[in-house]
Amino acid sequence: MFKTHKYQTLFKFSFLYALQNYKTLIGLIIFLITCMTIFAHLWQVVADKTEAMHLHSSQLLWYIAFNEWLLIALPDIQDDIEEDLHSGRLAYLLPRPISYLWFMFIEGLGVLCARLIVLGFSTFIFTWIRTGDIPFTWSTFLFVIIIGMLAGCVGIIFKMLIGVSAFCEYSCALVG
Amino acid sequence: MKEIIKVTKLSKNFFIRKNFPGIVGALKSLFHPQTIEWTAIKEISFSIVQGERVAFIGPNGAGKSTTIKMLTGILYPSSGAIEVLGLTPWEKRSALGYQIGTVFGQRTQLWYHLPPLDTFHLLSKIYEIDPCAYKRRLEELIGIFEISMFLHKPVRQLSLGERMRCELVASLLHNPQILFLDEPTIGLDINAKLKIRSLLNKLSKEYGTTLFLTSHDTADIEQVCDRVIVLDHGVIILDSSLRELKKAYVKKKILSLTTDQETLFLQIPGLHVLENKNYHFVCEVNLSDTPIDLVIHEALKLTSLKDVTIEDPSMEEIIRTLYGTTRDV
Repeated sequence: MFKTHKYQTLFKFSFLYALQNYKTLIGLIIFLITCMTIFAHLWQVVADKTEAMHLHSSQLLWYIAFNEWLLIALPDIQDDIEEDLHSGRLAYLLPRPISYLWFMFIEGLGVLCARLIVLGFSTFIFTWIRTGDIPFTWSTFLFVIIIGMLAGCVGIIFKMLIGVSAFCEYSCALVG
Repeated sequence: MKEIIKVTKLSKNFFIRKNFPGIVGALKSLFHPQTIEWTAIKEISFSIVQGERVAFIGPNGAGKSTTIKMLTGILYPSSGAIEVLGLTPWEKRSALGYQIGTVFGQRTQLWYHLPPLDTFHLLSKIYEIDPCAYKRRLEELIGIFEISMFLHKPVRQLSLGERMRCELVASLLHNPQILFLDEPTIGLDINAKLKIRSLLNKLSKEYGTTLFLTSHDTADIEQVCDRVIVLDHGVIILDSSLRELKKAYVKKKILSLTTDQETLFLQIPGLHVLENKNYHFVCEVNLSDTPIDLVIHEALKLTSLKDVTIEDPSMEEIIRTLYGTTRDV
């Protein structure tokens, strides 16, 4: 039986954990803003040279902002799984009455949500200040956030698959 | 007494991939992988009754951790049977999880940036502990393990000893019947080690928790356990009570005499003098050659004795002798 209260609490704690780990969040914000600045300039140069840019530069920056926001917010869950396996922490997690994979997914989701909020806010402010306008409606904005969340879930699943592949390196059999 | 762990002819084989050095070797490993079968555990059998405190010891690579992993359901055995609290661990791992606790000295289950109290709260949800029962249990454990001072401190700011006490509390919140401890005192200072050992004793006495402990620290074994299972090369080479182990393997005693004479000259077979100066005579007596009373009797013929001390060799020496015996075999 899937007992939701366990996962609700886990989500809450991983969300809180990501916020407590504020140094990582600050690092990610700096990284994201650096990436956006570089890509914005890069695209501008490419577009000038090739006349390939059909979007307005502010639209382009918003497009880059959404992409980077999502990609940088994704937690490195594959590293966590590999670390659990290599360090032996798995020995703590597996005997618990909770699915390890669900545990990792919900934990990742909690971190993702915390990062999406913090990075989203920073990205929004940065892009808004830089472009000076918001070239979309609020309903589009809401839609992008929902799509971003769903894409984040898919991203976590893919990263989990990469992490789980580390088990193939070991001859130990993962039960269940 | 009720048997709560029953292991019958348990074996575990691993297939290890053979890697060749260099780029050519890496390509060879990729296209033509070779594996070696390695037997970690060879048909071991033992059983443990409720409330027992068992030390499961052996040199590195003996198969201790592999056995614990099979007992907790993390690994499948290659052959043989295990029953823990009436359940087959790898088939009913989740159900078993509610009744067992694990403590691994080198790893942590506490969330690094959060205070231990948060991890305890999360674990109470994972183990589905009733909120009132959780509150009661937590208060009890906080009292026993004396962790109230650092309950609200982030784990990253705790010392290793404090962290280990919190790890124990985390593992005991759901009141497990069996506690598996894999080197719980590793890296701790002497005071922290003493504290952990005394807490484990208290826990076993107050709650009747069965302890299954692996450690390289012989003091852990002496001060916490009442039974020893020695594993070497995946085979059980000894399974006895601590008292019997000492009786069977203590073939030598250390005799210290404080005499009236500055030095003492005793020529007795089986006697190895370790110190003989300043009115102090220390020797190792091989009990199979000479009874200890004979040495004292002979000494009394030569001088009067101000003090006599007879010591057993250290547990470490006994264990070393044990490992050595099997290596020779």
